[in-house]
Amino acid sequence: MGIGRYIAKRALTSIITFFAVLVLTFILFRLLPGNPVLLLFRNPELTQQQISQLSAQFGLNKPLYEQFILFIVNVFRGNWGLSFYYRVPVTQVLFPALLNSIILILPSTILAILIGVGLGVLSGWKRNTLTDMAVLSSSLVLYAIPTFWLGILLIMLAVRIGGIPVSGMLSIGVSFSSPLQYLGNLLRHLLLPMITLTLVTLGQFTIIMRTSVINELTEDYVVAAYAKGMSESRLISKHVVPNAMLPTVSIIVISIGTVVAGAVLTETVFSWPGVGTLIYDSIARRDYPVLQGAFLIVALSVIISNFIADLVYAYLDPRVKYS
Amino acid sequence: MSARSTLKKYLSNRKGSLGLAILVVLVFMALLAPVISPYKPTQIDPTAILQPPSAKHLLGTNEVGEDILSLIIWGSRISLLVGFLATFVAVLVGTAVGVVAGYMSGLTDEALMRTTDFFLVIPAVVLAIVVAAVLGNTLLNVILIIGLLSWPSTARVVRSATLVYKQMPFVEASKCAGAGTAYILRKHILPNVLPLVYANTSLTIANSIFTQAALVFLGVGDINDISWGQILHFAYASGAITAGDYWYAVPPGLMIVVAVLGFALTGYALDEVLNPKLKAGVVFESA
Amino acid sequence: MSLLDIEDLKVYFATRAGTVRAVDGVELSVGTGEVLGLAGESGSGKTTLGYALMRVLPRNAKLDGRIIFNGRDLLTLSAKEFNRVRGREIAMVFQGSMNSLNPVIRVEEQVAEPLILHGGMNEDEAKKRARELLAEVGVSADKAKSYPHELSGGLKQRVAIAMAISTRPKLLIADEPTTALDVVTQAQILRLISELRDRFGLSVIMISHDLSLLSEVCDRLAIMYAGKIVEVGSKAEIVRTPEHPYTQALLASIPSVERVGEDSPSIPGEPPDPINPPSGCRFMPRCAYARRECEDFDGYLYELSSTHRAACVLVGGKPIERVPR
Repeated sequence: MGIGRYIAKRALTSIITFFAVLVLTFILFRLLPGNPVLLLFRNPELTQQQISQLSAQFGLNKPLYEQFILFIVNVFRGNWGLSFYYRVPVTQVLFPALLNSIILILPSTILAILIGVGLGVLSGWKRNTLTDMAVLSSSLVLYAIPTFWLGILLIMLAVRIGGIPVSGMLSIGVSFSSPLQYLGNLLRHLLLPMITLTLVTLGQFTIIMRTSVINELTEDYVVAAYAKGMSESRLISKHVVPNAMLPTVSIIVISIGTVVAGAVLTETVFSWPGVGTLIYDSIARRDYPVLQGAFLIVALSVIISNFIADLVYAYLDPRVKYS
Repeated sequence: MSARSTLKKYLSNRKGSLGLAILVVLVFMALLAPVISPYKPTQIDPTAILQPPSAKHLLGTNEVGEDILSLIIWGSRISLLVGFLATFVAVLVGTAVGVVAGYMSGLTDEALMRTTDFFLVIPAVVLAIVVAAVLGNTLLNVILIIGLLSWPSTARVVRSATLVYKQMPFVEASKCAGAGTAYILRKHILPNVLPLVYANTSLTIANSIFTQAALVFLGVGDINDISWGQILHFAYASGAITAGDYWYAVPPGLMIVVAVLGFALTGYALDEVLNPKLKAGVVFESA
Repeated sequence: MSLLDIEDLKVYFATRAGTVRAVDGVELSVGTGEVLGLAGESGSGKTTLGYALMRVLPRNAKLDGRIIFNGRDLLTLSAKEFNRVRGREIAMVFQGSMNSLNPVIRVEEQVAEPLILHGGMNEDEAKKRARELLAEVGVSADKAKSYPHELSGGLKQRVAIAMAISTRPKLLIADEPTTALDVVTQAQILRLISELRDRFGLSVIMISHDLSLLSEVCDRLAIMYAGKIVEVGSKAEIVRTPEHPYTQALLASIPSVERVGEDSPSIPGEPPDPINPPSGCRFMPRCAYARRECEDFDGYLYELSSTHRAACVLVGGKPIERVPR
């Protein structure tokens, strides 16, 4: 199928998936132990006016299917409810947290991909040699290490060394005289969480790329290319890697979910004020509207990232591009 | 391939032997916990709070004076149990879905696959956290949640295998002889598909152990039962981390690493042994 | 002075089950501008022989003997030195060229690659030359920019040939170049190979299980069985007066228009175990003429003429009655 149809199909799948997420969310958050209305009334934080406002807005007295339609409409309108704890719209709480999460996730993922793919190629090329065994064992160990435990270890190490912040995004109570100083402080806080997230993510990318390279090396075109009389390095870089990248991209797509999960755990350990910490806190505070909103945001981000990755794949694979 | 020759082949695989050895040790640890544990895990000693390792307490004590070594040993029970049971659920559902989707094809296949992809897209840990928070964090819930979030990977593997086997001549022959769908599935498809599932099962167990630890650490899992994740939860919550009490934080995490490695290595080895890739590939002379 | 002289070549594979003797002492030569057909059933070692000439065998292969090409023993060259021979002086077209083209690189770039590697050209020059080469083999300019999956089997095979001859090698090894192609395309490819021999003096070793195919385009034929050459000679000699029972059986099993309605005779039995080949003549268990002398036979190729040789006791030594058992 041509690239246009491919994109359209992927877009449709993404939309359907998001719709499924909405359905799931609706079901989940209406299964609250106890009547949501009662829960609202039990919440001493809200004023009576706010409660009535909520009831009307979310039609909590109406039949279920009407509630559902209202829910969908509200989601698309940006009306994601009111935070029980902060008493402001959920979106107001969510989006700054989202930004903070992106600051952590994006550089970590990119770094993990670069290092992981590089090591994977090296390992696959030199398979069954000492280099390969070393890389493979370390990757397996990294894959096995719980994200939060690695974070904990790094915190203990940092406390022992001193000077490296172990919690939060910025130092509290400090005023910054220049943007550069602000950035410096931010980066110092970013160091440990980023190391944690990068390390736990790169293990699986290495293994995936290594498997992909090894699979490609058994293909016929590799023998044919080698028969042309080129050096190993050229064979690997110009022939094997471009092919090996393709299934790797597909699998990295599936792993995006894991990266997000890893981010949630990392943020919690380091109290990094992103969506992960928000989820953790809102559970403790029983702030269900925020929890729901955070869940929706996470799902949406994963769906969008998957879609972008699908586009990248379509661009890279000529069999998709030119058919 | 007979069971005996498979076992022999498996044991000659270094990864597999190591993985299996680890698993055997862990299972014995869990089973023999009452016997090998130096103290009862809930035995509190208010005079010995947060003590570093000593002759009396080989791994030191926690913030209420419990012996950490005992906690670790007893913790293996829940950690492993949840891993096994959740995987049992996952493999049961996953195999059923995979076989049906692969064999039926058409709309059933499409629908089931969309559902599978959905679960693969949404980060399982996040979904688990949210569901556990909403439905309550009992042990049973945790097992069910993890199980119901892990079946997609099994389903995919089973479906691919089913697609291959359903085209084999002996299935055709069986159909011509008048065999019904249930019979074919039971007699022909399943026995051939199951070996491929074993490798996936091992990896699923590894994942389940990890997820349970994560859930408990965050406080949405079952924090009343002793498990490695639970120990870490209290290590973090009690401030022992920032105090630098390494004996509290290192062992439980290490156990998780070892357990996950054990199951992962076993899974990879099973994959190599049961699903051999036939092509050898070219060699480079300079190597 | 022939272009290629293979002397007592052995290719053994070390496997868990034992040492597989895929090529077990082969003597063969190819002249300039000559097309040699190498025939045999699967497992005879013919493909391994081709791969050995290119030195693209798996890690567990051990080579022994001499491969004298243009006066040099190829097996004594280092890996780096041989890289300059491979793809430049000796080239190969593989079985199932459908898969021997890289799926993510455009066809003209793949044909251009040997020119960049060995011909010292830059990318633009090489691509231009590649387009010319593709035109020579019958791939039009508009197809040159395609990706392999966009081309038909026949076109892909032509591309593979263009790729192989781009550096004007002296020897081309073609392993089952027409399998999986329809008869029309098959004929076109064979015609192309003949042309290349006529125009450029290209020597070809064509490997196939299909003796009738080989007899169409080859100048000389060599028959291989169980890792050894059992008969070699000019096309006329082999096709009209085959002397080795295996060759005779192969020729007899070719379905013929003249024998419509009759069952084509097939050769009973199976080839010997390559890990434990029997001593004596390896074809003996399946041979209609087997006798006691065959048990001591070492596979020597007796001369029937200056060009025709066969490894059978019925040929060498005392003349024996050719009476089937």
